[in-house]
Amino acid sequence: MHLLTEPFEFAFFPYALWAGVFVGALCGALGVFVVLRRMSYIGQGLSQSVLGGVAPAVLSGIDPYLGAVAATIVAGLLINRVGRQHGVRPDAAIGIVSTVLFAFGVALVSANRDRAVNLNDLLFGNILGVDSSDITLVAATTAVLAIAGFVFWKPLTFTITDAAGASAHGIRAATVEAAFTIALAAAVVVSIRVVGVLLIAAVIVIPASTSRLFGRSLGPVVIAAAALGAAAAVVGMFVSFHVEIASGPAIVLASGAGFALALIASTLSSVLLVRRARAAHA
Amino acid sequence: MSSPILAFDGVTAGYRGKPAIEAVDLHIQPGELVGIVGPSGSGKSTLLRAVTGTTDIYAGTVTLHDRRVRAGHPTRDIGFVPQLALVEPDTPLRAADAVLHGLAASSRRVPWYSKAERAKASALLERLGLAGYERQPIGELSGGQQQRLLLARAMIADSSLVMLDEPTSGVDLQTLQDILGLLDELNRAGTTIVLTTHDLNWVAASLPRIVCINQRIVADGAPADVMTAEVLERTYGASVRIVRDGDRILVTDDRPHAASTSEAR
Ligand SMILES: Nc1ncnc2c1ncn2[C@@H]1O[C@H](COP(=O)(O)OP(=O)(O)O)[C@@H](O)[C@H]1O
Ligand SMILES: [Mg+2]
Repeated sequence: MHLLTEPFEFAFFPYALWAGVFVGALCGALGVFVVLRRMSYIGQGLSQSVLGGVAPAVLSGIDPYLGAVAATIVAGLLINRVGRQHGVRPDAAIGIVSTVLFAFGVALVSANRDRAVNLNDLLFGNILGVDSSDITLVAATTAVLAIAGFVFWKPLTFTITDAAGASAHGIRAATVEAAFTIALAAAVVVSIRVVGVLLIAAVIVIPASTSRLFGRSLGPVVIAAAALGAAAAVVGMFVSFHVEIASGPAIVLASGAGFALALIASTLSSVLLVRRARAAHA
Repeated sequence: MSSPILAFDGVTAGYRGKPAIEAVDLHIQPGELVGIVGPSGSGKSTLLRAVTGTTDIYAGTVTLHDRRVRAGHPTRDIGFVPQLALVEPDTPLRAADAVLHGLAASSRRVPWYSKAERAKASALLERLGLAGYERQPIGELSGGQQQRLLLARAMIADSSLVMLDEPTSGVDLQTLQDILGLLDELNRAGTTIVLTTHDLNWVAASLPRIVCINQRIVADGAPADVMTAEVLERTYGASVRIVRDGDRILVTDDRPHAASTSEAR
């Protein structure tokens, strides 16, 4: 039991744990819709784009967080718009928008070598730097998006599974898609602190994919993905504390291990089903 | 005459500046059952999309329930069955939930559907021969079953207008007859129905009114008047032979010894 209680002797740990849980649950739940829209790399794209806002903010003395928020939302809307264009697939839209914004950020940083811009926290996350105001932000974002998800569950699920059908049935599908992209951008921004830019796609895609291996209905799949995301965060935080590896990779590794186990279980169960059917029809 | 439920007045519509239908005038009265026929690419789907606001309108007006349709704005009070595009087998969406999507715009309860709404979805699935499939993921249904599911989705809101894009293509004869029977029943109960088809013999000939289209409207009226060799040649650009047997009209190709009476595609 010492393994579980020891971390709490450090003041930062409960903060970090809660932040991880909220980020894991939020990104996990949103990830289901992302995966269904075949935009698995949108999280990665949005988070890369962040640099395009953080760099100019830092250089002009504005709060980098504001720069990050602005860049992510602009990137999300651009990806949404470009991906809609005839001849551009969503995955290409993600690639174009995010790399151009990233390049813009890198260009600014390289032009201002004399002024140190520390990108380490941005790239890898710095859970040790999480304080109570960060927790409030992450928790509030999670709460707002959870409520929005409840209220708009019907148009959201219709649009994500069949956008053309939804607009023919009186749903403003384009508005729903844009709103979803903004929600995702908000989730990415609040998550960067914890997992960093480089690993954000993982917290979005892995829990959702694990949950989809078994789920046959959208509601339970979303809830399970949120739970898996939160669980991976908890496991990752404890491992990170004891093994002394960075929290972001620890969370992703825990999530990946969960996916691997689920994959094995799902493979075994289909093998068993085939065997049983063969036996029944032998 | 009462005012039409759906009216096209001089409508030219298409995609990215290129018209797919031109100068279409078409008035549909409440309670009608109308078939739109024409070869592939003749603009049948575009005609329906002009009503759902999902194509660009370059000239003329589409009026639905006395309100002008604007591209990109959602329409109310329509049930729509899109041309069938099979969904991925692993889509996590159960059949009953897919049917309930037909109520997404009008249902007020948050976030779940009411018991009464769920019961209605089950009843519709049963009526469409999908009893017991409520909890089946939609991707695990066959093509014909998915087609019937989409019909249930279009019917659940009791919309006064139901539009169907090729509801009978790719379904077996039994399903085809079930669907036509159901549409007939729905129409008798007062629903206005517009469907597209390229099936002249099984579908078009059995409808009270058909509209032949090939970018422009070629003919509009009862099958007995419209289904002539001359009209169909202008619609399909292929020569055909019409065989009349009392009330039945049969379209075949005009090659000698042609045994096939299959649809002109
Ligand atoms: N999304 C689209 N973008 C561009 N052109 C399209 C699109 N959909 C249809 N078209 C074109 O519009 C014309 C009419 O198509 P459509 O209405 O689908 O015909 P039908 O349903 O009768 O087969 C065709 O020439 C087709 O190539
Ligand atoms: Mg079509």
